[in-house]
Amino acid sequence: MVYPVPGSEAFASRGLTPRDTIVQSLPAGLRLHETASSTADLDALSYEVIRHRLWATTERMGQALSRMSGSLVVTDCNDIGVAITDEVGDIVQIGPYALSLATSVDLAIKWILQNRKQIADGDMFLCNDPWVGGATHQNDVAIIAPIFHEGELFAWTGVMAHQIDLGGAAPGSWTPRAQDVFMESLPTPPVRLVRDFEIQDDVADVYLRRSRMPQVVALDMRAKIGANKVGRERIEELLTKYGADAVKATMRRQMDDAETQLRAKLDKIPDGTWRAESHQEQSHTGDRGVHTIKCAVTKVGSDLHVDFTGTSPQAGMINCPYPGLHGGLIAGVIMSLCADIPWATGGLWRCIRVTSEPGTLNNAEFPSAVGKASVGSGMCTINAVEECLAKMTDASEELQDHTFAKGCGTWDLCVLAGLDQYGMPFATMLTDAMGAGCGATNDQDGVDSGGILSIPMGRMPDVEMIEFSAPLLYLWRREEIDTGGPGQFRGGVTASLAIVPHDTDIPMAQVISGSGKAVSQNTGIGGGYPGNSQLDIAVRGSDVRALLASGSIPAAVGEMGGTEEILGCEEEPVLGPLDVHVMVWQGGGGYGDPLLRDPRSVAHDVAERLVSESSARDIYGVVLRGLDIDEESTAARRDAIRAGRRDVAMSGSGA
Amino acid sequence: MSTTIGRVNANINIVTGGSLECAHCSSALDGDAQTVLDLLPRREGPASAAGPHICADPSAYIDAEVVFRQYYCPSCWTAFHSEVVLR
Repeated sequence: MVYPVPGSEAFASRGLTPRDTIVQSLPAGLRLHETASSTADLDALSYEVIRHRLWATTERMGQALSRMSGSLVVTDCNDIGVAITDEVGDIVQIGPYALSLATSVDLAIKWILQNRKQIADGDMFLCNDPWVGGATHQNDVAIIAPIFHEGELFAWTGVMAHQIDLGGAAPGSWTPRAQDVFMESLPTPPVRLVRDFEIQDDVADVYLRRSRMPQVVALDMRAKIGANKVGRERIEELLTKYGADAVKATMRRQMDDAETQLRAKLDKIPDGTWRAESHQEQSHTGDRGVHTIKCAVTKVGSDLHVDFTGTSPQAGMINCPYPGLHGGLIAGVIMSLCADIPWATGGLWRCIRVTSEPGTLNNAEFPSAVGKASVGSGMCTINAVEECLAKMTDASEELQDHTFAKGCGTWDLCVLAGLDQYGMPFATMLTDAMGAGCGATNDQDGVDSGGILSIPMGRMPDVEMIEFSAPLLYLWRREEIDTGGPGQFRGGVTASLAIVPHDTDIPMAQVISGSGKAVSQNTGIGGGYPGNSQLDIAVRGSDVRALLASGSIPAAVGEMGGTEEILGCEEEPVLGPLDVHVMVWQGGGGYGDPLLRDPRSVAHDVAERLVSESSARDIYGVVLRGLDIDEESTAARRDAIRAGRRDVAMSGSGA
Repeated sequence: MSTTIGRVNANINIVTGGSLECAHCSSALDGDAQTVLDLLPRREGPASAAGPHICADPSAYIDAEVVFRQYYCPSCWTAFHSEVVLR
């Protein structure tokens, strides 16, 4: 039971505050840069050059952050976000990293404008308050910087990254035991970390003191400050070369174009309503419930109404406050509809209206636990929105090529912490799940181990780097057969790993957090099947050390000895020195009936060990002799499967 | 002879007069865009019936029953929708 905290509503962002309201509430003395020229005055060439420079600036900011950081989550995984906004916080350009880390920074900037006085050149604000924005959960820490030009507030840059540990009850700051946010990492509303271009040591100390890994987090803090500085320098170069009016007019037009182009697409789609649900099993340790985000997207003309009415009440620690809904929804829109439209969410939002009930999974009220918000209800918001939009585009002859099945619908989290071989504390988060399988499209298979769609530049870290940074040994990391959802176009297969403690006999604390184990999140479309179930297994008291000593590397759970234990969705187990942790994360959903798949593609998949021979026969109806297709038997097999469907459905064991 | 004037999705066309047809075999389908799925023949079985990739026993995690459900064209028996969901 979560009790309301009086005064907490002051930190609750719920939708974009209109520009006029922001302007009226500005602190005295703060002047905004207003362009004198209209977007119509901007010549086409200048517009294209400046907008591409802004786009490149977001990439450069991300690279700067990644190269300065010392955390694998940042350097090798790109679990970061970058954005450039106009003077009132409307997003002009999102960087190609974790979209939902960047897509709620607009809410944080508008909150700063309305709540922080004396905003000045040389300031930078730190924020990890999921109710304010700029962060989906407390681990995602934003550093946000205003950019002034000739005494006027011209724009903002925001840089976000997942921090490996920010305190709380469990290593990694993510505990399935949390009953409310007070058991988790402290949420920090925007505070002035940098003033007059100088880090404020007292503020930095308050921030870093909470972490079990303060040196790593301190380096990331400076890396984010540096990345904002890179953004500032690039934008100042633009101002010098093209003038403030041209750059501001480009920002305006970038948002106008995003709106115009999205409306043009929506106009091509028949009006209608499409629905989807995204489920999470278990909201906390010991829970056996299922918690559902419901979404209905209604398109009328060129407007979208996204309605989450009916979503389950907030529960356990899988919730996200409204900024998680805001960021997840627009990330889904970007992925589904905006491959060829500027990622200027300040314009995209003009086409979208939202309905959501406070106190629900993706509109959670303070002080609910939100430690898993990013890949819990935040990612399930993306799932539900993307599925609705896939059904919507599938209804359009012109936009059917925008249709895709869901890829990985969450994150298979495994945090490990303890003492390494030198007796020094370590904490790490396995980020291999960044190599999840992609969903199939209406004319292509999903990309095998292609990644998580809403993190375009996400990367799977190098095993050697993980082993270098933590006392772990990988027995394997490999793609797994049959993990892609069957379909006319197959979902991308995903991968698995097996790790053992290495060079230390001290048990390691673990946090295991991941759904999609009982109910599919990686849904198929058009008759395509969902991708595989997520799975975490502990093998207790294995023979791995003896096997390795004898020169044998086990390649399957059954070859390790010991006792197999299926781990739940939300647990905090201990990994003993002889234990093995095995995880299989999610592949992509399929598109279309697998019986419509070209048998040659199935034969190819079998040859590549992406699909088993039994699945080829039983699901795809393709009979192989070796790797050759037995065409007559295949035709008969497919007829038999259709007849079997008819017999089962007509026998009453169906509906 | 009916003429296709639109589509509900890749499997279901809208034809002259607003009625629906299977995109694969042109058989008439009941209902409209919002109801057609519910009116199709379907089969429902244990989650594991979806294939070897649905590998875990749902009861290991949750109390609710989970099923593999598939909806078909009543004539050519093409699968229009496949899901592993709560019953």
